[in-house]
Amino acid sequence: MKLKSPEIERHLRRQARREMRHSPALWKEYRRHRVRWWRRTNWSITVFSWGYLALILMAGAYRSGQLTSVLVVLSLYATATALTRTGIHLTQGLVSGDRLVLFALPVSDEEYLERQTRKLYWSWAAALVIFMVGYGIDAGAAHSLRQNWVVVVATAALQAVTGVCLGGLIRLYAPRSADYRVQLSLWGLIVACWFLPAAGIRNLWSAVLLTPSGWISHGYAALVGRAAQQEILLFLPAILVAACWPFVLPRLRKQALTELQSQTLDGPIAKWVGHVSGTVQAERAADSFPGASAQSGRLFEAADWARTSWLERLVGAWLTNHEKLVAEFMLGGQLGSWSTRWRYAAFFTAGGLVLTFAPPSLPVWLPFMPLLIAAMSAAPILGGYWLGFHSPFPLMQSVPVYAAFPISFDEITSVMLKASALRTLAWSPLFIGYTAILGLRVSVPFEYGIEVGIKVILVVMAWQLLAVVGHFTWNHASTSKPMTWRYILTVICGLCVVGAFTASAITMFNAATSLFKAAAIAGMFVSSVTGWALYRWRFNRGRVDLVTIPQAR
Amino acid sequence: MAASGCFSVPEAINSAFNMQISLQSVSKRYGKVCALDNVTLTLEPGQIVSVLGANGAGKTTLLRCLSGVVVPTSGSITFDSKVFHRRETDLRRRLAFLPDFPLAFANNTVLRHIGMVLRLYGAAGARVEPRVMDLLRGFDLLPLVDTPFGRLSRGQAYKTALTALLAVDPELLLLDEPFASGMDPNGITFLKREARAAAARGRAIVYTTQILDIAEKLSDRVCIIHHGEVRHYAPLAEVQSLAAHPEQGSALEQIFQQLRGDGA
Repeated sequence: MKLKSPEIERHLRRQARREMRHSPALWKEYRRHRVRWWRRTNWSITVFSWGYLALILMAGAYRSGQLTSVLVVLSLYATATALTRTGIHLTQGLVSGDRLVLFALPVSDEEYLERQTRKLYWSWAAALVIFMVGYGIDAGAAHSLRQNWVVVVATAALQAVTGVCLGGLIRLYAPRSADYRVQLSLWGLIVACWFLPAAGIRNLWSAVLLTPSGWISHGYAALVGRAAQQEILLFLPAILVAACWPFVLPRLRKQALTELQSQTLDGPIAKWVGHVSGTVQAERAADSFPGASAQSGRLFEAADWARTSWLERLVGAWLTNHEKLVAEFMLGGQLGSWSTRWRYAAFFTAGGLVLTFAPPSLPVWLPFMPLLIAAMSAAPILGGYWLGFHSPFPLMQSVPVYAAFPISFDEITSVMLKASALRTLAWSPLFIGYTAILGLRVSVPFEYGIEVGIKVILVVMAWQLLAVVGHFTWNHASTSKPMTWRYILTVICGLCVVGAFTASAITMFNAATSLFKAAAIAGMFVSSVTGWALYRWRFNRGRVDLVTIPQAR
Repeated sequence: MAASGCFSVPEAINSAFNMQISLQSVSKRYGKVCALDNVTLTLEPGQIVSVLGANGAGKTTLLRCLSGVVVPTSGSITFDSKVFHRRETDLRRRLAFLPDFPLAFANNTVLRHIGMVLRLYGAAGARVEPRVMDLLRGFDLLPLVDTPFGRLSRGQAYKTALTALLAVDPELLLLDEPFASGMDPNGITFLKREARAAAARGRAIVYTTQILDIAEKLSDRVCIIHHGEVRHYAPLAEVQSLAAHPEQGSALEQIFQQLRGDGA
């Protein structure tokens, strides 16, 4: 199913342009509105995808002495991308904007499925290029690219085919393993490869054997003579996985078609329609915002903070009555999730503590993972989740919900800061206790672990004002021409503030004397306050439009 | 019959139409809510039908059922005595549904969107081009031909979606709240003219609206839905005659007041 009609498009464009050229006013209008193809392309996704390629390249260059690091990164990338692409296929393949657009048009489910499958293959073609470049770098760094280019191409191709098939198997038999938390952990590990010591890379090199992509990388290493020759045999199970594709594909098609055929606008698609037309937000708002639904008889009744969980009660006790109203509005009925998230963090911390006392033969990075997950769960690292910043119209021009209501910048800041401060403080005992014990595991003094924990908490605390600014900027943009001196000055100021914050944070960790440490802490808070104050000044003077005109998707 | 004062319609899609569309005891429930209750009606070719009703009465659900976007809980919809299902893409190519919020790929330009719709309906070809040009001119969309859908205002987006579907010239055109779509007065006037011309060519047009003045001027038949039930489905004049005091202003308005007064 081809959706584009370049020929008719070209003819019509030619006719339209010819006609408009006769009218200067129409021609001027046309030139004002037209958007060239390079501005319609979503470069952020392209940059993000190729950023990973750059990461692999840089990892190879950075650790030129340890060639296995490239293979570790590639193996992790292959598994992570298989899970992510499967996840995307799961969530967006069957229920997505594409489906919604085509639902009311005469497109059969088979045609739609064919289109989605082709999109999946194309996305894997991009991954194939990354694999080839990655293995090419590895071979190039070992000065054997010329001899081994066939091995490089074949390994990359096998990696890609295995990835497609692995994704299909996951989709069929274990869709839950494509969970975003597993994906995030793998993507995180790729970044962590930059910082892991040689021992850590060695451990990871063994750990990737748990995945088919690891088998391929080990097989490749054996083929190019950098691992034991027996490891070539690891290609066999990988080839077996890849060979499953002809059997997996029909089953996948059958399953997907069954799901597609059962879809109507009152199913999952309805949710999408609701999002597009704003009804879901409206319903959610009616259910959760203080002016609750008339049917329940709770019209204009405020939420009962006293009956929520302990952390929400704590925050509620600190907020004034008006701030509570603002918080309820901005949270859109999410009251209760902070304590739940804290409980998750406590659970992961406890699990991590057990790992800390595990035998030293286990990889040293392992106990760090629960720490990371707990932090992501309990700490408002990015300022927390506030529904009020979201837009009810995600596909068209978007305006955040709060913009339509009389709520000031300062009121929102105050609510967010109080909530974030208490959440961070509540999380800090877990974190500091954990870092202290973790310190013992990595053979540093107990006090050093505590000190590192306190420093991280200080960074999170100081960051909160910038996180508030981040939330405000999320759905806003300058709708005027971006390249004005004011815009450039704002970007430079923003970069300076973030740069000053980062420099202060790094200095705090490395400073030798208490005086320097104190100055660095002050620097963090000052840069954060400065950034917030500058944005507040712009915001309150009406320099920021509360609307985002979406670029091409 | 060709419409006077209107552009030419490509032969391929200007064939004679006399498709009969019938709903037999169609009901649709969303959980506990009965959006459509035992609806039976027949749509004749060459007629403009306005569907009226209070908010939540079931107007949009009726259009969604007709387009195959939702499946009736019970009852059946037939096109020329053939039971209609979503999987019947050939049948679906003979009708077009435009929701109140037009849906399109945000990065597709106006022309690309039109090209895509024409291709999907099998209407792409050199002969349809003059028609598209006329529609672009009529809706003042010419300067926007290279603008992505995501950058259009709601009214412009609706006009773009409408242009594509009017260029296809389907036998049945289902429009959800076209007069509350943000279109400018020129667009509304042009749509009314196009609707009349399409009906004259034998197409059936079914639209929902809350604006009774428009319904009174642009309807051959009126369908009034109340709480999911079709209360009236008759030619406009016949429905108007049901008003208690036809001499005192809008007849449809009075019927609505009567329905409200019934407390049904």
